[in-house]
Parts: sequence; structure tokens; C-alpha cells
Amino acid sequence: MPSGVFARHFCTSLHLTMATLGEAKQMILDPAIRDWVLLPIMVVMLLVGVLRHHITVLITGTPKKPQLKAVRESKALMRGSQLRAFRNAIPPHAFSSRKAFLTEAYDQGKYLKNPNAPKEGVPAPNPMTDPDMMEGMMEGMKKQVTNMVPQMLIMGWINFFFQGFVVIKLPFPLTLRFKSMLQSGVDTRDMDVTWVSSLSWYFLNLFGLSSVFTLILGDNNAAGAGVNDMAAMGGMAGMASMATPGQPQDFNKIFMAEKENLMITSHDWELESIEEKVLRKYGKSTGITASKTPKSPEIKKELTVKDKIKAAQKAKKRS
Amino acid sequence: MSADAQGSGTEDVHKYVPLYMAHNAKTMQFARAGLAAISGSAAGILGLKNLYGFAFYAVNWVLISFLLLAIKTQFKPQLFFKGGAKDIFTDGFIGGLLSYILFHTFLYGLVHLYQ
Repeated sequence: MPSGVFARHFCTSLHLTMATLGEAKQMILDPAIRDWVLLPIMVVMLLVGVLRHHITVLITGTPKKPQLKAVRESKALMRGSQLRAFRNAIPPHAFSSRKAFLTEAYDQGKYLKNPNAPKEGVPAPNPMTDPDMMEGMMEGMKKQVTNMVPQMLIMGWINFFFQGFVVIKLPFPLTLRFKSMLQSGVDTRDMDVTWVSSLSWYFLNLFGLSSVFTLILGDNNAAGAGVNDMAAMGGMAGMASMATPGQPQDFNKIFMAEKENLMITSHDWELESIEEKVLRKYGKSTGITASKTPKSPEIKKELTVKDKIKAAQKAKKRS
Repeated sequence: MSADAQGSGTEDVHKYVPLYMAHNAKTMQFARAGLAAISGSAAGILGLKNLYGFAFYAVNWVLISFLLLAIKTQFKPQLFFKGGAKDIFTDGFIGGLLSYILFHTFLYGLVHLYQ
């Protein structure tokens, strides 16, 4: 169907409305606009989303196998945090020996990817030279491109073919400020703001279709717009901040921080006074057992930890 | 004791298995996506206008959240989500609203605008 037909349809419907706008404020849109503008935009956006999801799956491919040493490095770090998380579930001697072992390993950089690399003070290596970093950056670029290109194309398509169509009416009122934005290309001063142009319909689809993609493509689809990614980032802020691509991490520094964390971790074995804990839990505690709950050892322990830190700092200064 | 009270927030983290957490979030998101599409279509067909449309969404939101709380979590949201009941009632409200507006507008237009 040539676009001239659209234009004629559109004009006649607009004429009608202008005449009746005064009394009834009723504007009837031509069904041809629905069939040839409203539905095609929605269907095209839906299909492009599905296509993009599959293209992204194809491009991304299988994740690259990380190097053995790199895995070891990150797992060593994880060991420290695991020890801190579950510290009360193991007996004191087990905890202290693990702590001693891990702090020593961190201190000497046993698990570093390349332990012979220069320590602090040297600027981080250029990410361009490391093939791993390059790979990560390329991955991000690919995703960006697959995000941007289809949206630009669709927007251009809508601007080219459907500019100036009044497509639909929003079922809620808006202030006049939105007029220039929602009715771009429609030069009518008196028309209600809630009548929106095809470009606004495009934006409505862009933001609204993400839940449809969730339904048809599954949870972690790559079809949605930027909003989807933003929501994901907000939800998994921890994960997003952890993996900053293109930024080489100085594992030596992280190890040192973990060592410090381990040093200040106090230990309080859960089975230490388990009889009293169980009794107290079921409300059977007597005055004698309650008064016997150890308070002083804990304080003593804190002191020893502090002392250890002080000793470590002194040793550092000396060396 | 004091150390326990301080660290309880961070200590509880290891009690949640990330895989299960992700699955729970996914299940909830599915319910939410369905809610947005279906309630938006219903509002459009009913021809709700102005604030009634948003009120309809709010009512449906509270209803589905309560159903999730009652049926899926058996009133024990703490077992399924880190944030507990707060997560169920707040997560994804805006994203759902956008989809709701789309479907509301679309069905409203199809049923009441085009004759």
C-alpha cells in the first residue's frame, strides 16, 4: 500500500474530528491506521526483540575457559571469605590453623597469578596488552552494538514512514508540556495531549515490551531495551560492581585486604557452650547456667586479636 | 554477644544459595510479567481512564503480591527472599507499570478508539 493512501485516510479522519471537536471532543481514527501503523510497529518491535535475543546468544557463544592460575587466585580469595563466614562452625584450633595458613599465603602471594610480578607502586599494566582484558572489552562492545543498532534502525524506519500519524490515545491525562514530545510531527495546536504520534507509540513499546519478552524468552533474555539492563543492575548491584570489565584487578592488594580482614576476625565457637544455648533456647535455663555464660574470655580474645594486629604492623614497619 | 548482633546482617548472607535465590526471583518475575500484561489488557477492555487505570494496577499489584506471599511462600517470605516481604511487595513495580501502561493503552485503543 503506498503511503499516499495513508496520508489521505489520515487527513479525512482529521477533518472529521476538527469539525466535531467543539461539541463532542470525539475523534475517530481510521481503522487503516490501526492495521498499517499501530499493529506493524508493535509486531516489528516484538520480532526484532526476539531476533536480537537469538543473535546475542549466537554472538556471545560459549564463555572462554579461564586460566588455571586465575581460577586459583580467585578461589584463594574465596577461601578467606568462606572462613570468615563460617568461622563459628569449626573448633578453635581448626580456625586458628586455617587463619595462620591463609594469612601467610596471602602475605607471601602464594596464590598470585604471577607471584614474581612487581608489587605495589608500579602502575597497572595496559589492558590492551593482556589478551584476557581484550576479550572482555570486546564482549561488552558486542553487546552494546547489538543493543543500539536495531533500536536506531526501527526509530529511523518509524520516522521515515509513519511521521505525523496520530496513532492512539493514552487513557490517562498529561500536562501540556508533553505535547511537543508526544506529538512531534503533528502540527495541531488544539489537539488533546493524550493523542500521541507513532514515535510515542514506539517508545511505549520500547519500555513496555520487556515483560512480554520475559514471558516468551525466559528470564535472562537479551531482547529488552536499556531499561531491562538497568533493572538488572539495580537488582544485582553486587555482581555488577564486582566485575568491572577492562579494569585489571590488583590481586595483591585484594589479598592484603583479605589478610587484614582475617586478622581482625574473632572466633566464637558455636559448640563452646552448646548445652546452655540449647537450654536457653527451650526456656529451661537456670540462674546458675545463665550466670556462667562466658563473658571474660571473649574480651580477652578481642585483646589478643588487637595485639596481633599491632604486632603485625610493627613487623611491617620494621621490614 | 555484641559481636553477634553487629555481624548478623552480613553473616546471614551465606545462608542463601544464589542459585535458589535466582530461581525465586525468576518465578516472581514471571508472575509479575503475567500480571502486567493481563491486568493491563483487562483495564483496557474495561475502558478505565485517568487515575482509575493506575488504581486498578495498584489493586492488582497488592493482590498478586499477597497471593505470592500466601501461596508461593506460605507466609514465610524470609525463607525465599533476602528482603522478606518487602521484596515481594516492592520489586519490579515500575517495570511492571510500564508494561501495564502499554497494554492498557493498546487494548483501550483497540476496543474504545477504533470502531
